[in-house]
Amino acid sequence: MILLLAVFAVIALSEVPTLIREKRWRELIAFSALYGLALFYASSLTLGAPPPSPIRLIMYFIKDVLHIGYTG
Amino acid sequence: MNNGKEQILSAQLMFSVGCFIQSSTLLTSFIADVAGNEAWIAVIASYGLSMLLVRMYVKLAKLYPGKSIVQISEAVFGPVLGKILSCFYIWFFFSLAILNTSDVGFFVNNFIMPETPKMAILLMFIFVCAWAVRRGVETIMRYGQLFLIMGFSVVGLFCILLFKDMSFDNLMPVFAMPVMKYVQSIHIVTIIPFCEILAFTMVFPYVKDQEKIGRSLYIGMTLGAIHLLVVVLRDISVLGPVYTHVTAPSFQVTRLINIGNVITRMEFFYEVAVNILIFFKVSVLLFAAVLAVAQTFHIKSYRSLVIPIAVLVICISMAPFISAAESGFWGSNIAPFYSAFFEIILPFFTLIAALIRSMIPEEGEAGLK
Repeated sequence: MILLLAVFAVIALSEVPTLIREKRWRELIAFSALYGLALFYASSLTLGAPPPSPIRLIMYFIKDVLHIGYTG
Repeated sequence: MNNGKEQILSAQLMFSVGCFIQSSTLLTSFIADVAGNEAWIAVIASYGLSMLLVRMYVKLAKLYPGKSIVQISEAVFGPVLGKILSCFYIWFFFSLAILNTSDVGFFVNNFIMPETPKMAILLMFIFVCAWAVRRGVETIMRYGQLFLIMGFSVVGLFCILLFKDMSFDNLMPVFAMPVMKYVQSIHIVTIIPFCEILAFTMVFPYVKDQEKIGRSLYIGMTLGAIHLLVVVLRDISVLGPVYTHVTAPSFQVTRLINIGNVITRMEFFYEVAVNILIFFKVSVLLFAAVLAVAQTFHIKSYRSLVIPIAVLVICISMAPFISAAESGFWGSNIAPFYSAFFEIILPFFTLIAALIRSMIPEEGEAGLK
Protein backbone atom coordinates (compact mmCIF):
# COMPACT_ATOMS: atom_id res chain seq x y z
CA MET A 1 0.00 0.00 0.00
CA ILE A 2 2.85 2.35 0.88
CA LEU A 3 4.61 1.44 -2.35
CA LEU A 4 1.38 2.11 -4.27
CA LEU A 5 0.96 5.53 -2.67
CA ALA A 6 4.61 6.31 -3.34
CA VAL A 7 4.25 5.44 -7.02
CA PHE A 8 1.10 7.53 -7.31
CA ALA A 9 2.85 10.42 -5.56
CA VAL A 10 5.79 10.23 -7.96
CA ILE A 11 3.50 10.24 -11.00
CA ALA A 12 1.49 13.14 -9.60
CA LEU A 13 4.66 15.09 -8.89
CA SER A 14 5.80 14.58 -12.46
CA GLU A 15 2.55 15.80 -13.99
CA VAL A 16 0.84 18.29 -11.67
CA PRO A 17 3.55 21.00 -11.36
CA THR A 18 3.70 21.30 -15.14
CA LEU A 19 -0.06 21.70 -15.39
CA ILE A 20 -0.10 24.34 -12.64
CA ARG A 21 2.86 26.21 -14.08
CA GLU A 22 1.29 26.39 -17.52
CA LYS A 23 -2.13 27.25 -16.02
CA ARG A 24 -3.85 24.33 -17.73
CA TRP A 25 -6.67 24.26 -15.21
CA ARG A 26 -9.15 22.23 -17.25
CA GLU A 27 -6.55 19.58 -17.80
CA LEU A 28 -5.62 19.64 -14.11
CA ILE A 29 -9.23 19.09 -13.09
CA ALA A 30 -9.65 16.19 -15.53
CA PHE A 31 -6.34 14.68 -14.47
CA SER A 32 -7.21 15.00 -10.79
CA ALA A 33 -10.64 13.45 -11.22
CA LEU A 34 -9.33 10.48 -13.21
CA TYR A 35 -6.29 10.12 -10.98
CA GLY A 36 -8.46 10.08 -7.87
CA LEU A 37 -10.62 7.37 -9.37
CA ALA A 38 -7.52 5.39 -10.38
CA LEU A 39 -6.11 5.76 -6.86
CA PHE A 40 -9.39 4.55 -5.36
CA TYR A 41 -9.47 1.49 -7.64
CA ALA A 42 -5.80 0.66 -7.10
CA SER A 43 -6.09 1.07 -3.32
CA SER A 44 -9.17 -1.13 -3.20
CA LEU A 45 -7.36 -3.82 -5.19
CA THR A 46 -4.31 -3.60 -2.94
CA LEU A 47 -6.43 -3.89 0.19
CA GLY A 48 -8.16 -6.97 -1.22
CA ALA A 49 -11.59 -5.40 -1.62
CA PRO A 50 -11.96 -4.59 -5.30
CA PRO A 51 -15.04 -2.66 -6.38
CA PRO A 52 -17.54 -4.55 -8.53
CA SER A 53 -16.53 -4.86 -12.15
CA PRO A 54 -18.46 -2.41 -14.35
CA ILE A 55 -18.41 -5.00 -17.15
CA ARG A 56 -20.30 -7.45 -14.94
CA LEU A 57 -22.78 -4.73 -14.02
CA ILE A 58 -23.39 -4.11 -17.71
CA MET A 59 -23.77 -7.83 -18.32
CA TYR A 60 -26.33 -8.02 -15.50
CA PHE A 61 -28.19 -5.03 -16.94
CA ILE A 62 -28.32 -6.43 -20.48
CA LYS A 63 -29.03 -10.06 -19.53
CA ASP A 64 -31.21 -9.82 -16.44
CA VAL A 65 -32.89 -6.41 -16.75
CA LEU A 66 -33.30 -5.93 -20.48
CA HIS A 67 -33.38 -9.70 -21.18
CA ILE A 68 -31.33 -9.22 -24.32
CA GLY A 69 -28.92 -11.86 -25.48
CA TYR A 70 -28.67 -15.15 -27.22
CA THR A 71 -29.86 -18.02 -25.06
CA GLY A 72 -27.11 -20.46 -24.13
CA MET B 1 -8.60 17.96 -32.36
CA ASN B 2 -5.49 17.84 -34.52
CA ASN B 3 -2.75 19.90 -32.96
CA GLY B 4 -1.52 20.48 -36.48
CA LYS B 5 1.69 18.56 -35.96
CA GLU B 6 0.72 14.91 -36.23
CA GLN B 7 -0.43 13.53 -39.54
CA ILE B 8 -1.09 10.02 -40.75
CA LEU B 9 -0.88 8.85 -44.32
CA SER B 10 -3.90 7.02 -45.73
CA ALA B 11 -1.67 3.99 -46.32
CA GLN B 12 -0.75 3.96 -42.63
CA LEU B 13 -4.44 4.04 -41.76
CA MET B 14 -5.09 1.14 -44.12
CA PHE B 15 -2.37 -1.03 -42.60
CA SER B 16 -3.39 -0.07 -39.09
CA VAL B 17 -7.00 -1.12 -39.70
CA GLY B 18 -5.81 -4.46 -41.06
CA CYS B 19 -3.53 -4.92 -38.07
CA PHE B 20 -6.35 -4.02 -35.68
CA ILE B 21 -8.57 -6.76 -37.11
CA GLN B 22 -5.67 -9.24 -37.14
CA SER B 23 -5.34 -8.84 -33.39
CA SER B 24 -8.74 -10.46 -32.91
CA THR B 25 -7.20 -13.86 -33.57
CA LEU B 26 -7.41 -14.61 -29.85
CA LEU B 27 -11.13 -14.01 -29.93
CA THR B 28 -11.97 -16.73 -32.44
CA SER B 29 -12.94 -18.95 -29.51
CA PHE B 30 -16.16 -16.89 -29.24
CA ILE B 31 -17.12 -17.97 -32.75
CA ALA B 32 -15.91 -21.53 -32.24
CA ASP B 33 -18.38 -22.03 -29.39
CA VAL B 34 -21.29 -21.01 -31.57
CA ALA B 35 -20.51 -21.88 -35.16
CA GLY B 36 -18.15 -24.79 -34.70
CA ASN B 37 -16.65 -25.98 -37.96
CA GLU B 38 -18.77 -23.48 -39.91
CA ALA B 39 -17.06 -20.47 -38.36
CA TRP B 40 -15.44 -19.72 -41.72
CA ILE B 41 -18.89 -19.10 -43.21
CA ALA B 42 -19.55 -16.58 -40.41
CA VAL B 43 -16.29 -14.78 -41.19
CA ILE B 44 -17.11 -14.42 -44.89
CA ALA B 45 -20.69 -13.28 -44.27
CA SER B 46 -19.60 -10.87 -41.52
CA TYR B 47 -17.01 -9.31 -43.79
CA GLY B 48 -19.71 -8.49 -46.34
CA LEU B 49 -22.07 -7.10 -43.71
CA SER B 50 -19.33 -5.07 -42.03
CA MET B 51 -18.39 -3.42 -45.32
CA LEU B 52 -21.94 -2.04 -45.44
CA LEU B 53 -21.91 -0.92 -41.81
CA VAL B 54 -18.54 0.79 -42.06
CA ARG B 55 -20.00 2.95 -44.83
CA MET B 56 -21.76 4.82 -42.01
CA TYR B 57 -18.42 5.83 -40.53
CA VAL B 58 -17.08 6.80 -43.95
CA LYS B 59 -20.18 8.86 -44.73
CA LEU B 60 -19.91 10.69 -41.40
CA ALA B 61 -16.23 11.39 -42.16
CA LYS B 62 -17.22 12.84 -45.54
CA LEU B 63 -19.97 15.00 -44.04
CA TYR B 64 -17.64 16.31 -41.33
CA PRO B 65 -14.09 16.13 -42.66
CA GLY B 66 -11.31 16.51 -40.14
CA LYS B 67 -13.56 15.66 -37.18
CA SER B 68 -13.64 12.65 -34.91
CA ILE B 69 -16.83 10.82 -33.94
CA VAL B 70 -16.93 12.77 -30.66
CA GLN B 71 -16.67 16.11 -32.43
CA ILE B 72 -19.24 14.98 -35.01
CA SER B 73 -21.68 14.05 -32.21
CA GLU B 74 -21.35 17.51 -30.72
CA ALA B 75 -21.69 19.20 -34.12
CA VAL B 76 -24.80 17.19 -34.98
CA PHE B 77 -26.65 17.00 -31.66
CA GLY B 78 -25.45 20.15 -29.98
CA PRO B 79 -23.35 20.65 -26.84
CA VAL B 80 -25.55 18.85 -24.30
CA LEU B 81 -26.77 15.76 -26.13
CA GLY B 82 -23.47 15.63 -28.03
CA LYS B 83 -21.53 15.41 -24.77
CA ILE B 84 -23.82 12.65 -23.51
CA LEU B 85 -23.14 10.65 -26.67
CA SER B 86 -19.45 11.42 -26.35
CA CYS B 87 -19.49 9.97 -22.84
CA PHE B 88 -20.96 6.79 -24.29
CA TYR B 89 -18.11 6.60 -26.78
CA ILE B 90 -15.54 7.28 -24.03
CA TRP B 91 -16.93 4.42 -21.99
CA PHE B 92 -17.05 2.12 -25.03
CA PHE B 93 -13.40 2.64 -26.03
CA PHE B 94 -12.38 2.37 -22.39
CA SER B 95 -14.31 -0.89 -21.94
CA LEU B 96 -12.80 -2.39 -25.10
CA ALA B 97 -9.33 -1.51 -23.83
CA ILE B 98 -10.18 -3.25 -20.53
CA LEU B 99 -11.53 -6.37 -22.20
CA ASN B 100 -8.62 -6.76 -24.60
CA THR B 101 -6.07 -6.14 -21.84
CA SER B 102 -7.85 -8.71 -19.72
CA ASP B 103 -7.60 -11.20 -22.60
CA VAL B 104 -3.84 -10.66 -22.74
CA GLY B 105 -3.54 -11.13 -19.01
CA PHE B 106 -5.63 -14.30 -19.09
CA PHE B 107 -3.80 -15.77 -22.05
CA VAL B 108 -0.26 -15.05 -20.84
CA ASN B 109 -1.05 -16.00 -17.23
CA ASN B 110 -2.69 -19.29 -18.16
CA PHE B 111 -0.65 -20.53 -21.10
CA ILE B 112 2.77 -18.90 -21.02
CA MET B 113 3.72 -17.63 -17.57
CA PRO B 114 1.46 -19.24 -14.95
CA GLU B 115 3.81 -18.43 -12.06
CA THR B 116 3.92 -14.71 -12.85
CA PRO B 117 1.42 -12.52 -11.01
CA LYS B 118 -1.22 -11.22 -13.40
CA MET B 119 -0.67 -7.66 -12.18
CA ALA B 120 2.95 -7.77 -13.33
CA ILE B 121 1.92 -8.91 -16.81
CA LEU B 122 -0.77 -6.24 -17.13
CA LEU B 123 1.49 -3.54 -15.73
CA MET B 124 4.24 -4.22 -18.24
CA PHE B 125 1.78 -4.50 -21.11
CA ILE B 126 -0.12 -1.30 -20.34
CA PHE B 127 3.10 0.57 -19.59
CA VAL B 128 4.23 0.05 -23.19
CA CYS B 129 0.77 0.87 -24.55
CA ALA B 130 0.58 4.08 -22.50
CA TRP B 131 4.08 5.05 -23.61
CA ALA B 132 3.07 4.59 -27.25
CA VAL B 133 -0.08 6.68 -26.73
CA ARG B 134 1.89 9.49 -25.08
CA ARG B 135 4.29 9.49 -28.02
CA GLY B 136 1.33 10.25 -30.28
CA VAL B 137 -0.94 8.70 -32.86
CA GLU B 138 1.65 9.04 -35.62
CA THR B 139 4.00 6.77 -33.68
CA ILE B 140 1.30 4.16 -33.20
CA MET B 141 0.10 4.16 -36.80
CA ARG B 142 3.62 4.00 -38.16
CA TYR B 143 3.96 0.48 -36.81
CA GLY B 144 0.73 -0.76 -38.33
CA GLN B 145 2.39 -1.74 -41.58
CA LEU B 146 5.21 -3.60 -39.86
CA PHE B 147 2.87 -5.49 -37.56
CA LEU B 148 0.48 -6.36 -40.39
CA ILE B 149 3.29 -7.92 -42.41
CA MET B 150 4.51 -9.70 -39.30
CA GLY B 151 1.03 -11.08 -38.65
CA PHE B 152 0.67 -12.39 -42.19
CA SER B 153 4.18 -13.88 -42.10
CA VAL B 154 3.53 -15.77 -38.88
CA VAL B 155 0.18 -17.10 -40.09
CA GLY B 156 1.66 -18.06 -43.46
CA LEU B 157 4.57 -19.85 -41.82
CA PHE B 158 2.29 -21.79 -39.49
CA CYS B 159 0.01 -22.74 -42.36
CA ILE B 160 2.97 -24.20 -44.21
CA LEU B 161 4.21 -26.06 -41.16
CA LEU B 162 0.75 -27.40 -40.36
CA PHE B 163 -0.21 -28.31 -43.92
CA LYS B 164 0.46 -31.99 -43.32
CA ASP B 165 -1.93 -31.93 -40.35
CA MET B 166 -4.78 -30.25 -42.22
CA SER B 167 -7.82 -32.21 -43.20
CA PHE B 168 -10.24 -30.15 -45.24
CA ASP B 169 -12.99 -32.68 -44.58
CA ASN B 170 -13.22 -31.03 -41.14
CA LEU B 171 -14.78 -27.98 -42.84
CA MET B 172 -17.84 -30.09 -43.67
CA PRO B 173 -20.76 -30.35 -43.26
CA VAL B 174 -22.04 -26.87 -44.07
CA PHE B 175 -25.42 -25.29 -43.40
CA ALA B 176 -26.26 -28.04 -40.95
CA MET B 177 -26.89 -25.82 -37.93
CA PRO B 178 -30.07 -24.03 -36.83
CA VAL B 179 -30.50 -20.62 -38.45
CA MET B 180 -30.09 -18.77 -35.15
CA LYS B 181 -26.57 -20.16 -34.80
CA TYR B 182 -25.62 -18.55 -38.13
CA VAL B 183 -27.29 -15.31 -37.07
CA GLN B 184 -25.43 -15.35 -33.75
CA SER B 185 -22.04 -16.20 -35.23
CA ILE B 186 -22.35 -13.59 -37.99
CA HIS B 187 -23.45 -11.06 -35.39
CA ILE B 188 -20.41 -11.87 -33.21
CA VAL B 189 -17.85 -11.62 -35.99
CA THR B 190 -19.41 -8.46 -37.45
CA ILE B 191 -19.37 -6.67 -34.13
CA ILE B 192 -16.24 -7.88 -32.40
CA PRO B 193 -13.40 -7.88 -34.92
CA PHE B 194 -14.79 -5.74 -37.74
CA CYS B 195 -16.96 -2.94 -36.43
CA GLU B 196 -14.59 -2.24 -33.52
CA ILE B 197 -12.69 -0.16 -36.07
CA LEU B 198 -15.08 2.54 -34.86
CA ALA B 199 -12.05 3.44 -32.71
CA PHE B 200 -10.35 4.71 -35.87
CA THR B 201 -13.01 7.43 -36.18
CA MET B 202 -11.02 9.14 -33.44
CA VAL B 203 -7.98 9.03 -35.71
CA PHE B 204 -9.75 10.53 -38.75
CA PRO B 205 -8.76 14.14 -37.94
CA TYR B 206 -5.12 13.15 -38.22
CA VAL B 207 -5.40 11.60 -41.67
CA LYS B 208 -3.66 13.77 -44.23
CA ASP B 209 -5.83 12.83 -47.18
CA GLN B 210 -9.41 12.95 -45.94
CA GLU B 211 -10.83 11.74 -49.28
CA LYS B 212 -8.96 8.47 -48.98
CA ILE B 213 -10.31 7.50 -45.55
CA GLY B 214 -13.02 5.28 -47.04
CA ARG B 215 -10.66 3.44 -49.33
CA SER B 216 -8.19 2.92 -46.48
CA LEU B 217 -10.88 1.47 -44.23
CA TYR B 218 -12.23 -0.90 -46.88
CA ILE B 219 -8.84 -2.23 -47.97
CA GLY B 220 -7.67 -2.50 -44.37
CA MET B 221 -10.80 -4.46 -43.47
CA THR B 222 -10.23 -6.74 -46.44
CA LEU B 223 -6.67 -7.47 -45.33
CA GLY B 224 -7.85 -8.17 -41.79
CA ALA B 225 -10.67 -10.37 -43.04
CA ILE B 226 -8.27 -12.43 -45.15
CA HIS B 227 -6.07 -12.98 -42.11
CA LEU B 228 -9.01 -13.95 -39.93
CA LEU B 229 -10.41 -16.32 -42.55
CA VAL B 230 -7.06 -18.06 -43.06
CA VAL B 231 -6.66 -18.48 -39.29
CA VAL B 232 -10.16 -19.91 -38.86
CA LEU B 233 -9.82 -22.27 -41.83
CA ARG B 234 -6.45 -23.46 -40.59
CA ASP B 235 -7.69 -24.03 -37.05
CA ILE B 236 -10.79 -25.94 -38.13
CA SER B 237 -8.95 -28.08 -40.65
CA VAL B 238 -6.27 -29.02 -38.13
CA LEU B 239 -8.30 -29.40 -34.94
CA GLY B 240 -11.45 -30.84 -36.44
CA PRO B 241 -14.09 -31.71 -33.82
CA VAL B 242 -11.77 -30.52 -31.04
CA TYR B 243 -12.06 -26.95 -32.39
CA THR B 244 -15.13 -26.22 -30.31
CA HIS B 245 -13.65 -27.64 -27.12
CA VAL B 246 -10.39 -25.74 -26.76
CA THR B 247 -9.98 -22.33 -25.14
CA ALA B 248 -7.59 -20.72 -27.62
CA PRO B 249 -7.82 -22.69 -30.87
CA SER B 250 -5.05 -20.78 -32.66
CA PHE B 251 -2.65 -21.32 -29.79
CA GLN B 252 -3.48 -25.01 -29.47
CA VAL B 253 -2.93 -25.45 -33.20
CA THR B 254 0.60 -24.07 -33.02
CA ARG B 255 1.41 -26.52 -30.25
CA LEU B 256 0.83 -29.32 -32.72
CA ILE B 257 3.65 -28.21 -35.01
CA ASN B 258 6.25 -30.95 -35.13
CA ILE B 259 8.55 -31.27 -38.11
CA GLY B 260 10.92 -34.16 -37.58
CA ASN B 261 11.10 -33.45 -33.84
CA VAL B 262 13.27 -30.49 -34.78
CA ILE B 263 10.76 -27.72 -35.41
CA THR B 264 8.63 -27.85 -32.29
CA ARG B 265 7.42 -25.52 -29.52
CA MET B 266 6.47 -22.90 -32.10
CA GLU B 267 3.76 -21.54 -29.82
CA PHE B 268 6.33 -19.06 -28.55
CA PHE B 269 6.31 -17.27 -31.91
CA TYR B 270 2.54 -17.27 -31.94
CA GLU B 271 2.46 -15.81 -28.45
CA VAL B 272 4.91 -13.03 -29.37
CA ALA B 273 2.98 -12.20 -32.53
CA VAL B 274 -0.36 -12.11 -30.72
CA ASN B 275 1.02 -9.93 -27.93
CA ILE B 276 2.41 -7.47 -30.45
CA LEU B 277 -0.87 -7.33 -32.34
CA ILE B 278 -2.95 -6.86 -29.20
CA PHE B 279 -0.49 -4.20 -28.01
CA PHE B 280 -1.33 -2.32 -31.21
CA LYS B 281 -5.06 -2.78 -30.70
CA VAL B 282 -5.02 -1.69 -27.04
CA SER B 283 -2.83 1.31 -27.93
CA VAL B 284 -5.39 2.42 -30.51
CA LEU B 285 -8.27 1.89 -28.06
CA LEU B 286 -6.43 3.68 -25.27
CA PHE B 287 -5.66 6.56 -27.60
CA ALA B 288 -9.31 6.70 -28.68
CA ALA B 289 -10.52 6.76 -25.06
CA VAL B 290 -8.02 9.40 -23.96
CA LEU B 291 -8.60 11.62 -26.97
CA ALA B 292 -12.38 11.26 -26.56
CA VAL B 293 -12.10 12.51 -22.96
CA ALA B 294 -9.93 15.42 -24.08
CA GLN B 295 -12.24 16.42 -26.93
CA THR B 296 -15.44 16.02 -24.87
CA PHE B 297 -14.18 18.35 -22.14
CA HIS B 298 -12.30 20.64 -24.52
CA ILE B 299 -8.87 19.86 -23.12
CA LYS B 300 -6.03 20.97 -25.37
CA SER B 301 -3.61 18.12 -24.79
CA TYR B 302 -4.61 14.55 -24.00
CA ARG B 303 -1.17 13.43 -22.85
CA SER B 304 -1.59 14.07 -19.15
CA LEU B 305 -4.76 11.94 -19.14
CA VAL B 306 -3.00 8.82 -20.42
CA ILE B 307 -1.57 7.64 -17.10
CA PRO B 308 -4.75 7.79 -14.97
CA ILE B 309 -6.79 6.08 -17.68
CA ALA B 310 -4.07 3.45 -18.14
CA VAL B 311 -4.07 2.77 -14.39
CA LEU B 312 -7.85 2.37 -14.45
CA VAL B 313 -7.53 -0.08 -17.34
CA ILE B 314 -5.02 -2.15 -15.37
CA CYS B 315 -7.16 -2.18 -12.21
CA ILE B 316 -10.41 -3.17 -13.89
CA SER B 317 -8.84 -5.67 -16.29
CA MET B 318 -7.45 -7.62 -13.31
CA ALA B 319 -10.86 -9.22 -12.95
CA PRO B 320 -13.60 -7.98 -15.27
CA PHE B 321 -15.28 -11.38 -14.94
CA ILE B 322 -15.27 -13.94 -12.17
CA SER B 323 -14.27 -16.80 -14.46
CA ALA B 324 -13.20 -17.69 -17.97
CA ALA B 325 -16.61 -19.25 -18.53
CA GLU B 326 -18.27 -15.93 -17.78
CA SER B 327 -15.88 -14.20 -20.17
CA GLY B 328 -16.79 -16.71 -22.87
CA PHE B 329 -20.48 -16.19 -22.17
CA TRP B 330 -20.02 -12.43 -22.45
CA GLY B 331 -18.23 -12.75 -25.79
CA SER B 332 -20.71 -15.11 -27.37
CA ASN B 333 -24.00 -13.84 -25.97
CA ILE B 334 -23.84 -10.32 -24.53
CA ALA B 335 -21.01 -8.46 -26.27
CA PRO B 336 -22.69 -8.56 -29.72
CA PHE B 337 -25.62 -6.56 -28.36
CA TYR B 338 -23.58 -4.35 -26.06
CA SER B 339 -21.15 -3.34 -28.81
CA ALA B 340 -23.88 -3.06 -31.45
CA PHE B 341 -25.36 -0.13 -29.51
CA PHE B 342 -22.13 1.86 -29.83
CA GLU B 343 -20.95 0.60 -33.21
CA ILE B 344 -24.22 0.56 -35.14
CA ILE B 345 -27.11 2.28 -33.36
CA LEU B 346 -25.37 5.46 -32.21
CA PRO B 347 -23.51 6.10 -35.51
CA PHE B 348 -26.71 5.32 -37.44
CA PHE B 349 -28.74 7.93 -35.59
CA THR B 350 -25.84 10.36 -35.82
CA LEU B 351 -25.72 9.84 -39.58
CA ILE B 352 -29.49 10.28 -39.96
CA ALA B 353 -29.37 13.49 -37.92
CA ALA B 354 -26.35 14.72 -39.89
CA LEU B 355 -28.09 14.07 -43.21
CA ILE B 356 -31.21 15.90 -42.00
CA ARG B 357 -29.07 18.84 -40.86
CA SER B 358 -27.31 18.91 -44.20
CA MET B 359 -30.65 19.30 -45.95
CA ILE B 360 -31.57 22.31 -43.81
CA PRO B 361 -29.64 25.37 -44.98
CA GLU B 362 -28.20 27.39 -42.10
CA GLU B 363 -27.24 31.00 -42.42
CA GLY B 364 -23.84 32.13 -41.31
CA GLU B 365 -22.30 28.72 -41.30
CA ALA B 366 -20.20 26.99 -43.92
CA GLY B 367 -22.26 24.31 -45.61
CA LEU B 368 -21.41 20.70 -45.10
CA LYS B 369 -19.42 19.13 -47.90
